[in-house]
Amino acid sequence: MEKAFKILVICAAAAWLISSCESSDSAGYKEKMTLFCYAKADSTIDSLFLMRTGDVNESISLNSLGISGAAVVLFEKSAEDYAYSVVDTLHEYSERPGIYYLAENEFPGGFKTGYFYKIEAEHSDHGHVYAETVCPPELDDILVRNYKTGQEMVAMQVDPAASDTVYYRRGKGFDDVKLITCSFDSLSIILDGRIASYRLVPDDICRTDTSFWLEDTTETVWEDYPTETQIFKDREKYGSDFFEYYIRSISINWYALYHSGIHTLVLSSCDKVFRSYMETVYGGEERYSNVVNGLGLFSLSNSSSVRSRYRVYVKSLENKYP
Amino acid sequence: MIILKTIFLLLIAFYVFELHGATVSGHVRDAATNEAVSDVNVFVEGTRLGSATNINGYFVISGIKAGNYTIKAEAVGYKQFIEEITLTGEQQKKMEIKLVQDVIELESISVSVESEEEHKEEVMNIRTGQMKLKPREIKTSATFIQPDLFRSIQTLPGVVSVSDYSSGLYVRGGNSDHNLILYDEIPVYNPSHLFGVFSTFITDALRDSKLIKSAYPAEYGGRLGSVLDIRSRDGNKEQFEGNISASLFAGECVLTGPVFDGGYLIAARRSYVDPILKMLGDEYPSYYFWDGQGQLYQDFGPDDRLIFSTYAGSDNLSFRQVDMDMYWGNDTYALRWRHVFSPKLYSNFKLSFSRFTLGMDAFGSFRYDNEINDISLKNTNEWFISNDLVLKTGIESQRFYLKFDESFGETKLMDVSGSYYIHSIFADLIRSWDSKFTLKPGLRIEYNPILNDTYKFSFSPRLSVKYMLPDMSSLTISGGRYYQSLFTVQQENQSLQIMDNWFPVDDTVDPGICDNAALSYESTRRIGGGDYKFTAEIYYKYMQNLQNWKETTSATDDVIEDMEIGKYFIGSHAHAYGIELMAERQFGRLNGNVSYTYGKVRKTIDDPLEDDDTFDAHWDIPHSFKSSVNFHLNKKWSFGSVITYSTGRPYTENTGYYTEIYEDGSEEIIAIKGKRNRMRYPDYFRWDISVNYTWFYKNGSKLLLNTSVLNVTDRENIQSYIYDQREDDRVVKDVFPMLPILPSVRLSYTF
Repeated sequence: MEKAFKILVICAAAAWLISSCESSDSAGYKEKMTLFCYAKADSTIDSLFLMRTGDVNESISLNSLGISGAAVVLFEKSAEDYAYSVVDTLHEYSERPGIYYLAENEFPGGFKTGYFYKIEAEHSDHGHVYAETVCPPELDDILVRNYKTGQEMVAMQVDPAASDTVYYRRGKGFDDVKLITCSFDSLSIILDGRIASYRLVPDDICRTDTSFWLEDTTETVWEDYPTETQIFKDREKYGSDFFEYYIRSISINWYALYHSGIHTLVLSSCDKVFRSYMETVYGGEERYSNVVNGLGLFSLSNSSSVRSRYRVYVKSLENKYP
Repeated sequence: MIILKTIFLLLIAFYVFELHGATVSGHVRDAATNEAVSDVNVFVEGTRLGSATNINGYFVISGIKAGNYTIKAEAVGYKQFIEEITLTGEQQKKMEIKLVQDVIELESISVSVESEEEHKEEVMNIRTGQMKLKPREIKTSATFIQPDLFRSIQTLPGVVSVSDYSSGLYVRGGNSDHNLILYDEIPVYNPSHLFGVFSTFITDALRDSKLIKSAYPAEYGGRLGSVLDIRSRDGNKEQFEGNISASLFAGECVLTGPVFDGGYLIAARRSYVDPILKMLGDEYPSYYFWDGQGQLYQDFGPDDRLIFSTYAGSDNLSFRQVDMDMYWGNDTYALRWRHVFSPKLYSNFKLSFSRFTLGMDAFGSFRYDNEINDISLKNTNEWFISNDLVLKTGIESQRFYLKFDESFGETKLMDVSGSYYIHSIFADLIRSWDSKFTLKPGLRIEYNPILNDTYKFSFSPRLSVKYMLPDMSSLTISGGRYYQSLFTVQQENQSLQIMDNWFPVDDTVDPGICDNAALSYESTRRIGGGDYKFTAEIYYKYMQNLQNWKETTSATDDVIEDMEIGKYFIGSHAHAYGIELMAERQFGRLNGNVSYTYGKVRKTIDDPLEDDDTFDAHWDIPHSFKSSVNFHLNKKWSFGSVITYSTGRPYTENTGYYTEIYEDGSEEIIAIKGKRNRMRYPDYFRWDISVNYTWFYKNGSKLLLNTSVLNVTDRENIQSYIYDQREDDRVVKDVFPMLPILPSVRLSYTF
């Protein structure tokens, strides 16, 4: 009896050991189509990139993975419409395989605020993908102020002559040297789940002063400085609950304005899709995609009406460049 | 009021259990060095009276009727001590027991007991998940370049190593920061050299090390998992002696001897690869590390000892090509006073300071400084109320200071510093009945004002119950709740943690909590003329509020001046469970242990946005077979073998790639990730062997030649896969291997 019990225990232990062995569960490589298309309100599609994924050991580039000869169609509908209607079929650049465009005359007026858009791409060898989004409205009630004085700096409607001056002084940290604050109505953004982003575009007369940045910066660098991250980091955990909040203003510091000269500030309102995507760019392990059956992004933004100019001086050079 | 009531009840309890008759108390020490010997059975022959020595070698036997008796003392590795004594009435006799070492235990020694009183140490010591390592065992086993305590601990069941390059310890499903590492009762942070390749402690300067894998007693606190209690040698009070050792990588020296009515110990170690690196040119970094350990004690009569101990060590890395200098290291200081207030009250007072610093200068303008220091004041009292009842109480106050300072040029990126306090009281009670049944309840209460209101006061109950079965077997169940309010940055996608940064929990998150339980069966049996110890343990842990670095924290954030933990970290919880089976033979020509461990760790990120939120932790190694065996051919020749065969670690595979096009038209190659930690590296196998030869000289000195071959089968174990992007835009999967076959030699001269 005792022997039988021991055998039983050993058999049970052996069965448990075997059943608990770890096994790798590899998904393996599975080809997918990728689609990337960024477009702006009132504009047409300049470049839509259609490619496929690649396996390990394969060359991963537009040249080698671009999908040529696909049928790529743009659809649109208004908020009231039930079904999409065809806008037109995109064309492929003749010497740039995998890149498609839509001519202005085929899409007069471009993407319209508040309209829904869908892009479908189909290829006999690579399958069928589609992506949808909505063209977001512009940002409202934008006010740009001198960070230090709170004084409004410019009239926001296009006025090339309007400019103001902010002075750079070297501080201990980023917070010490904020120059500009730019506020806008964030309520609509909260409701839509959209995001705002801004970028600074140095004008041609803008110059780099080596003493303005680090002492060892010797090269003149023109950079369109994208600082969308300033907006995407605001997901917080309080206790066991998550909630998200959105800042109503953007602070622009000397880190962004390291060019001495005239700057143009462009504010964009981006769709919900772009917000989800950027969240994963700065945090997630897997990129967000709104491309069904594939990977990539079809995103629309609205930025054309927001524009302003600043003149930034290093304090020590104030007399030299009044 | 509650405290007063508790004290009153304790006094009544002491009175009830107070035994009348003579008392024998004293210390058990090594005859050659006068150093304390712990866990020694001291008993009165022919009676049921006995005691086990504590960590300082102290014992008390009370309630002995007047008469003539034989006192015996037994410990592993020592000859039996026998002394006849005569006791009268209520006499309080003090004894200094000197145990003589068995030089080499070539012959099989029986530790099977003949009577109940001889296994007092077995009865009173509840050792669920406890493992002890002696330095001399480490010295002759197969080593990685040089003997290392942490690497020897990695060969124990229930302890997981994630890499050949790391001496980090993952114990019973806990993370590497769940271990409380104490060196002479001083908490030590990041005790490693060369980014974790070696641990900091000089093996020849150590006396004892004890790893409590889970359910540790209330005396310890502040960590969720395990305790590694390392004790340095006291210092030889009898005579001057020393040891000089040299390996391929570092040289070390230990000197010890008497001074006044006490002893001292000085130990130093330094690596010496830097001259070779320097000769190779500026394209190679310059690196060295050093350690210094010291201890000085004085006895003021038989009842007082004052001890000063210190450790200092650092790593220094310099890379001229990128203008980088980096250093990190520890320094610790402790002043301890042990006093025997009465034979039944043994007290220990400690004032200690422990500091870890890390500094880096790079690229001419980047600067990083990190510091954690810990000032601790602690008192413990052991009340030997009767032979079957011991109460250990204590109080501890700790002040922590942490600093993170990061700057680029004149721009501060991070500027966080602060100090906080933890005050604790604790009590462990050990009560046994008829040498059969032992109960050990414990409670630790901590006050941490920085935490939120729910956790400002934390109560950590612990309980162990042991039942002695016939034939030297026992069954023990232990459990408790544990809190941790200091933690290190953990990133699940980082398989090799090379440097730990410690952070304090604040009121924005909850402290780490671990509820654990373990069931243990232990049996010592005589088979074929040798004594074998068999252990089977089952454990379960539920860990909450494990903090993980938020990967959403952008590098373009403003300067971090106020470190709100909730802002930069996200919580997670984990279940860990497993079974450990071990057979061990401590004596004889052939000794060592063979073990099998099954252990799982499943972790869940507390983020509702996570889809794939439950996964195997990156240190989850379910099946692990380990064998560590030594064979003594004769007094001169010995051989060692260490085998580890385990399941491969989990990792997240890249299942493919695509080109991402950004808004500005730029491109980037993006990996398509598989399920988190769903894949596993191939099974890990490593066999290390050692051959030792000892020359004995007439003047009593000896020279040990230790030759080791690491990974003797030259198996390519995989540290990680590297997906390397080539110039032709191909992404190639390369293997980053662990250590290949690696011979090493070490000479150790003892005089």
